[in-house]
Amino acid sequence: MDQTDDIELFLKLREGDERAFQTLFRKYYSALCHYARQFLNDSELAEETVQDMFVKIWEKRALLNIETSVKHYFFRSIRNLCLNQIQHEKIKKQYASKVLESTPQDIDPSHFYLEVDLIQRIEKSIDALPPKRREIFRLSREQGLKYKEIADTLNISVKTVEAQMGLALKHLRHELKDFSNYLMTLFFICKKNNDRQ
Amino acid sequence: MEAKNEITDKDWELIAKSIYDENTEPTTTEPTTVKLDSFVDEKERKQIHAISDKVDLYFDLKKYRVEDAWGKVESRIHDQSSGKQARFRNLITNPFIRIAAALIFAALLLVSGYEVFINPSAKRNLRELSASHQVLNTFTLPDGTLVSLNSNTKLRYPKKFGRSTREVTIEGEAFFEVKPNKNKPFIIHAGNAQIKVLGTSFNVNAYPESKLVEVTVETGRVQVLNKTDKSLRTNELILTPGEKGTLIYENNSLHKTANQNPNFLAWKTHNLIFKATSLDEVIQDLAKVYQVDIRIADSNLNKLLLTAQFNNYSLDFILEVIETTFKIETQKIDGQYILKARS
Repeated sequence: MDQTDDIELFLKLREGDERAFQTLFRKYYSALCHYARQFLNDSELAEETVQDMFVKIWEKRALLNIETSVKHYFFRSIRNLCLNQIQHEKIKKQYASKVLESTPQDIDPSHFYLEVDLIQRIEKSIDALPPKRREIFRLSREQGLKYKEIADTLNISVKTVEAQMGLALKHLRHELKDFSNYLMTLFFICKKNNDRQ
Repeated sequence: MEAKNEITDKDWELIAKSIYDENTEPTTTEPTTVKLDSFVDEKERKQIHAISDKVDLYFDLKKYRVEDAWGKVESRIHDQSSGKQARFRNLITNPFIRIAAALIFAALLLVSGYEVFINPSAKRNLRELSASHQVLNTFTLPDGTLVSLNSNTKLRYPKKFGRSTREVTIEGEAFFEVKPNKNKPFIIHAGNAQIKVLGTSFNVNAYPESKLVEVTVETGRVQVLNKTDKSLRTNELILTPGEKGTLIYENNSLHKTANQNPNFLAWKTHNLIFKATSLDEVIQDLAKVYQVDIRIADSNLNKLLLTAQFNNYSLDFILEVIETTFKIETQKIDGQYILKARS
């Protein structure tokens, strides 16, 4: 479903439909930045690279030909742009080859990209947590604090943090139950496709 | 499918700790080794991990400011389309949105007769402010900059300015009082010109049909750049108070002159000063300020010189003064004012 949507949007974009372009941008921007960061290790540079890519796509829209997956095309472009950038800096050339070696050739966007409806589901599930539990969970996952640090920040015991985090995970697992099955199937389908290629 | 026996809260705590608490001893062992009271099969474990990965990814992605980024990309693609690819402009706007916008616009006109139109359109990040038949005085932009729009003017600005610059696009004429911010230059895209300032007040006149851009400075320093000239630095001006920069599209020239017209802001203030000003120049100012069509029927009236000051008077009053001063008469035919000698 997502794929055909993308192709449709892409065809519109090729005809100069700015709204289609904007939709694709919103859908993939964060994920691509997150992906580019892996290579560039600098979020500002990553964001610039992704913005450059989108501007280029807009400029060359009439010449673009994407037949398979728009998502993969974006991720591949970002990968190439990032590697180019790393290679441009001669001093860091060695680093580039190291990155090349260490990052797998085949790109798996699912490590970076979230479907729009899944984002909404996650958002809802987190909002549904009791305020205190939500705050603790947010400090851990959004701010990256350790249990001890959370306890200190909120002036509560580490035990409470442990218990609350457990309950938060339980809640999320429960709320996103059907999604996890969906994720697994998706995972297997992707795997099959990749194996076939 | 799910484990038949429920996972106890205590076990959830342990699972969460194994995934989330980086403070736990450097056990590089897989979380699968966590000793639990209840039975959690491999599949369930994988699903829990898959979900917590997705939730973490959700937080990672939330850090990116998509709206700001879109604002930047949008202004970049519009930069290009305003030049040689201007024709794409028409293609990119969805006709239904246009019609809807026109309807809302008409409705607003009916209700208020006052045409502030903030176009939320499809771009949630970009706002459009437009003044059609009347002057819109002193609107505040998100950064605190004040802007007044002359009639038939459109200003596009983001709901939130970017991290490094404050960029807006203008079609028509506007007076800006830019809120000082040394770290975030204020950039105005006006046709082929780009105007960059840190914090000053100045007037920009860039009606597309006049095929030129004029920038007149009241306070501070303003940089004007010819965007179509690729050779860097050769086509750039720095303007100081009392100076006017003009970019003429026809020969692609950008030059600086002293501002001769004390009435350059009269469209906003309605304060007009004439010091031995020839009548043909007077009516040019009046036409602009009051948005009317005025013409002199006898060319020998052109040379008459007027010295007067009008602070916020009606056009009829000013014309009456001119009539009595020069002993001429004014006729209004089909909405056009015609000045001629008394018969």
